[in-house]
Amino acid sequence: MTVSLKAVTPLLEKGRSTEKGGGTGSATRERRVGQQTLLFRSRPRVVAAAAVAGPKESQGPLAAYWDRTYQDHLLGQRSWERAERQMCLDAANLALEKAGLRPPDIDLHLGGDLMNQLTCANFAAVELDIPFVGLFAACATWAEELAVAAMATDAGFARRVLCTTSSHHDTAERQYRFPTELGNQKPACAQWTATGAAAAIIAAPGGDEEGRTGDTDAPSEAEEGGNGQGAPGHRRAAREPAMSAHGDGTARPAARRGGSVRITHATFGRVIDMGLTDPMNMGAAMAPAAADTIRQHLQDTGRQPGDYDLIVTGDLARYGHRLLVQLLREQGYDAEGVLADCGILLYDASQGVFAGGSGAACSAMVMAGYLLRRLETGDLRRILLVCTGCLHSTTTYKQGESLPTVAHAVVLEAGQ
Amino acid sequence: MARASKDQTQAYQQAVQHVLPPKPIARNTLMAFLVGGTITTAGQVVMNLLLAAGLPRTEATSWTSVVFILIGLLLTGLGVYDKIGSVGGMGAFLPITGFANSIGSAAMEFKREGWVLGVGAGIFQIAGPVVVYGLAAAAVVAGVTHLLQGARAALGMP
Repeated sequence: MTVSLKAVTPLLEKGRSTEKGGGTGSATRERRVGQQTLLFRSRPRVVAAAAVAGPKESQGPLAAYWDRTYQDHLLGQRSWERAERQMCLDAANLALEKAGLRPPDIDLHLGGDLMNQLTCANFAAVELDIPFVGLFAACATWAEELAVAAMATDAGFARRVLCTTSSHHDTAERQYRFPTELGNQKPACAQWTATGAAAAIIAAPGGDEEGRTGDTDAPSEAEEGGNGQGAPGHRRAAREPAMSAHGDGTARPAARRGGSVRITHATFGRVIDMGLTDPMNMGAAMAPAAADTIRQHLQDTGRQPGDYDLIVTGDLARYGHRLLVQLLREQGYDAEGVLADCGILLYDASQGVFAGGSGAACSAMVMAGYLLRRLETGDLRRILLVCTGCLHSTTTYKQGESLPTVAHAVVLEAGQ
Repeated sequence: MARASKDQTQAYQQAVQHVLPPKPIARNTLMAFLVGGTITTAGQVVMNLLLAAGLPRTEATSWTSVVFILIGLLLTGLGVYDKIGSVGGMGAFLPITGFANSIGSAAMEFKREGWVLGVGAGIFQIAGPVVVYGLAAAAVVAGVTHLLQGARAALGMP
């Protein structure tokens, strides 16, 4: 703690410009606070979410929170990429089942992952057959999707938006690092890419009870509409009451069960390049981006870290987390008490994951499986989810470029 | 612009170094010695057995390499060698079993992309640089040796 970060703070404190954000239109003024933060007045709802987990994740401390776990890295598929796609589909279908919805009920599908050309998201979108927008922000994809989904539903461009993201340890190892069976040694600051996927359905409060396209379809088509390969039969049965209730527009128990969590704000981060070049130390590279987004968010909203029960970063892992605490302290925020990191929460230190978890699924799984449930039970009232992403490619770091990083934040609140 | 200046990068790097644990150089060195030593001692045992069985020395060395390439490939396929490597570091990479691991792991990884563009193109992804610079180094050494021998002859030395 003796090393000063004073030299770094001007970069983060300066912000984008001294001008007050907000634009000129009154609609913009209503929807923006400060320089970078969006305010969702309709408070879009997280109708349902699901998280599925690979073998290592299902032995971790959050094992009880996964909707489905897999004991096989390949999921019986013939490639890691196909396994990741299947996890993504499973998460999407589980979330749809929980909400009592079918793909035609969803207006927009936002998906992303770590693979080149968003391989897994694009191929999963073929199966789901929902108008699709692919988003890439590396491991910050999840918060980016939630924020864009909240924008779309708040503005009325979509009634319901499905967000999905996934990552797989072996697809990431192969693309970003070495063949999975190569006996190479990693430093303590390396991170373990999480195997898993998450999905969430975001809906505008007014719009989510109406306009189910299921109304126009015969109920018998509900089965194939679910599109859930490997979905257990009892889960489908549980969905039936919700589906049969659509005709008279009365209570939909499946949709009401959870879904009390709201997205109230989002802060899109700037891309920050701290000049670090080691892709085996992404936590350190991403910490300044997280600090910048958190500082900007607090400044925009006039809140203090204590206004949140938890400020949870995506995948800074052990050392990045410590750097974030320092960086925020340099800027006058003592957030250590409320700061947590999904990469640390996801695994036990004894699981051999170096500094902690990473990957697009890391923050998504922890949010969709664990944090959301704690919000629904009222255990947490308001959290700031800050997903962090390292935006380098295998080409750029071989060419000696430094690591550009980004952090996007969304505020999740419990209650109506 | 959200790009750090050189000074900022330097200041931040110092802070990063301060947070990171020191590299376990002593432990890594010891483990590399133990793992590498075990593999090479086993190699010596196999070679001695082959020599005792009456094989000429040149053939015995070749057969020992073949045996350890097979062992390396087998342990790679069984998913064991990556764990040995993560503990042993260079001690596991340097012996011929490590070379076999680099070839075998790449072959396994790229087989899903087909035999020609997958295995064929990808098998030397890790070992390729070793082969390229091994050959380059050998060429340099051979050249230097040749020149020195020429100089020696010109000076009339034996």
